[in-house]
Amino acid sequence: MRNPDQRQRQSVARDTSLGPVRANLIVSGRRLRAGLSFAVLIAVAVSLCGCPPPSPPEGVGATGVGRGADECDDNLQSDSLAEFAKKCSAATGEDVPAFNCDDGTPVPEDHLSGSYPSALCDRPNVLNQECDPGSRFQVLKQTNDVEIVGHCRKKNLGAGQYGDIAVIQYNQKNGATCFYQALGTLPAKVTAPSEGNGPGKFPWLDPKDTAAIGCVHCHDNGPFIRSEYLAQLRNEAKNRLPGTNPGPGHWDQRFSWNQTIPYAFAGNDFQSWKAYSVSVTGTGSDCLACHRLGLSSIGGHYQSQGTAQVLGPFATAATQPSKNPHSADSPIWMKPGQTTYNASSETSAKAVAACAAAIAQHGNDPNAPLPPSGCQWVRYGEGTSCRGGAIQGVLNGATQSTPTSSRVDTVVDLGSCSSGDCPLGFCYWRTLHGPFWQTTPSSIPFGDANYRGSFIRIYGEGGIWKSRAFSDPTGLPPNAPPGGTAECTNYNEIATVPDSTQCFANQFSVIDKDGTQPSQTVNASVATPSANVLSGLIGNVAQANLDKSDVVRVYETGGQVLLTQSHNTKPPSPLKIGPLEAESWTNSCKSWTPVYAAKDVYSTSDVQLVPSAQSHNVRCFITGITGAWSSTRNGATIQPYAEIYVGPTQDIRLRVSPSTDQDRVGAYASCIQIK
Amino acid sequence: MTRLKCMSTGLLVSFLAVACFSSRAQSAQARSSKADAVVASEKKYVLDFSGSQDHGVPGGTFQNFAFNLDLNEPMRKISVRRDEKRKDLVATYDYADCTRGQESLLEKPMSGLAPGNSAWVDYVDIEMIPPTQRDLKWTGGVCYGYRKSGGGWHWNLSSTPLTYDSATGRVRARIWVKEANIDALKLVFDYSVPRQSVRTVTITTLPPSTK
Repeated sequence: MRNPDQRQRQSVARDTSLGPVRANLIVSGRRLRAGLSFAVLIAVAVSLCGCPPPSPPEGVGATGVGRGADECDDNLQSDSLAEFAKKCSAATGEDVPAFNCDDGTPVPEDHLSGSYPSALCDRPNVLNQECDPGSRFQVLKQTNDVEIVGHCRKKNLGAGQYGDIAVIQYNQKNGATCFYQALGTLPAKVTAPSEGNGPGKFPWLDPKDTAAIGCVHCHDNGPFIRSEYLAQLRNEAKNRLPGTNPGPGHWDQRFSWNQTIPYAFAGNDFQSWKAYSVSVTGTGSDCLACHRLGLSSIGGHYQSQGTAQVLGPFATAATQPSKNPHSADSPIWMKPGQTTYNASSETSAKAVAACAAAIAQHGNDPNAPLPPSGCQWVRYGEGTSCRGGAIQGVLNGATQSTPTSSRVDTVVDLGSCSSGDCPLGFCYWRTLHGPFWQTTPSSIPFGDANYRGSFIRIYGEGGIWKSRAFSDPTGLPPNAPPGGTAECTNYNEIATVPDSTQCFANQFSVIDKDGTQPSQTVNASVATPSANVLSGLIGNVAQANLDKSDVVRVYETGGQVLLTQSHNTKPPSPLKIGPLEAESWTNSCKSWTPVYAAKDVYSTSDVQLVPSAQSHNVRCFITGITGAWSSTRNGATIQPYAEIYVGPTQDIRLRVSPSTDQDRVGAYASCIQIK
Repeated sequence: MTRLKCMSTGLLVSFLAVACFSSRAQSAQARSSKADAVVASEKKYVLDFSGSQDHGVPGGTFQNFAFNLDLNEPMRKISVRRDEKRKDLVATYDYADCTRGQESLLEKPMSGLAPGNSAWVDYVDIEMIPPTQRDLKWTGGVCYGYRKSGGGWHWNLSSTPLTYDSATGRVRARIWVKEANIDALKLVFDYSVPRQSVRTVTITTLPPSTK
């Protein structure tokens, strides 16, 4: 294998430091192993405890669009309560026990004045926006992995009665979550859901009715909403809400609690729920330094409620229903340490809300305007039956973006896994678009203000898969930032993987520091069979179609995996040669041989990758590009792209554009079977 | 008849309510005078809840209520106590609002609502006593469901904004129903509406022949 130019390699690799993740030194590439310990994630998270506002990227951000491609069993027959409880027990690893609401810790309603339901107090509940004395909260079960909490809302009822009893069952290793709900005039003594809800039993709602409530409407940035109402119990020895105490305990870590924790919904009636993490650049990004802000969809319909759209502005508003005026005794919900209203905080929250609303609007109506620049989203939670990319992120549009004259630096986290049974996954580009170009020499790294160029890449950093799209045409004619759709599929979802904890990914790169190398190839093989993805396109990769088209691809031949680039060193004007780099990941697992449904299929227009009969059990990914990926049309408003998509007959296809003329492009893609 | 559209739910009631309501009132007045000849036979039935606990029936943050139609009296004074079980009015904490997909939750407590008189309902005016909390800003509206005589519930979950009437210090909305053979209605409030008391509901009916 050739040893690529280390200087350029380092400049590109600035954000590829994998931190505690073990590096594989067998090859010069980097190795991302499955089974990252939870401690590692905590270490990453704790580093954010101070909640410093992140450094906003220079220039505008990018526009994120797209729906998560997923396959969920969301048309199954409703579960009975007992069936649901059984599934939840299996998914989380613990049962919900019987309990007595009167054993819970009373939720303080300090400085209460007036009478229910119009009373004022220091920390009213957010759900019903009321002070509800006599309500009690308790932790029903807690292990290192699982916590089950119960909350009994009094609703002004008499002794031994409650008006609203709810339980949340959560496994923070695999994300499995279950919600239980009962309403009405309820006794304090609550039977376990596993006993059902028939005559003589506690009147738990049937799962379909709990699902109709749409808990995820609000619980969209994780399983627990940490308003001051329950967070005020943060110093309770036992009955404190997860993520509210700032200590280092498994269920504490207030300032990093829900940045990366997984989230998945168990039970037939909850399979269409999805939770998305919203991110913005510039104003509003400070909200996201400590926690996610979420958005949800149910049955494919994006909701207009949630932490990003409603609770963020609510938490930062000058007044809160039923709450005493903000003060040291009655502090405003957000931000931590702030006791009274701060216009800047509210402005930030509203910026995220506007982003989420735009995403929801576009999600529900593809004809609605695209979300604004810098507004990104990624799905991180869905039903436990869902298969497919556990995470899907869209950077600067799936196939097109809007030209700008300044720097665009878009980073989307593609997630992590700490449980060992959903190991760091197989990440790839499902769609991508150019232009890819670079005018500055390789001596200028892309973090430098003088760098002029563009790239997309998938990489590992701090144990988390990330995708990044960058463009800086400052001082040059406006140009469109490149981007695409990055997906990750967990190894345990891939067919014939015998032990997903024995999977790994090695990164390789081929670098031409000045564009003078007409052809380069590196051996990207590992000792075992592998599935190989083209992950990084940096600088002037593939510019022209002359006697033959420029090519960048990773492929297998003669028992070897090769990452190669070839290009014409005298491209037609106005194109010029310049630095280029291509990156790939070689994914492999012990004793695994990938089962391909399509392998290195080449498209110069629109071809079928997989017929409809097989399309539900495959994952398809880009493995190569050819042609004029530096060029654009119509003032950069039309960019070259390659897209793997579901065709009208439910087959999976690969199309590219443009497909004619000298600036035409081509692409290669492969598909592997999943379980 | 054109349905009035005044402000979206995205606007702050306390900020724009005066101007907006004024606009609504003028529009309504103009339309009303124009329509008088056509709807001379309209009848109004007022449900006056002012004698209730909290001076009204709770609405907002998942508190909704349904009532059957009684066309025998143009004015009914109904005093509702919290948690009272009645056959002519069902006030419930549904854990549901105008979000679609929650219809089953809205219907679940309605089995005890007695049949009412059937009517062609043109529109319904809602008058609410706003929260007493000073400077509270909120947005939201009201949507509805209706029950056909002898049968199931039908839902229109597009909410109509609630607006503040500074002249009377009340929050109001008019929902257009325009449906025949209705014997009961349910008023459903956006979750974002803080709980407040619905003081009166006025149902305007038309003979079926004039619709």
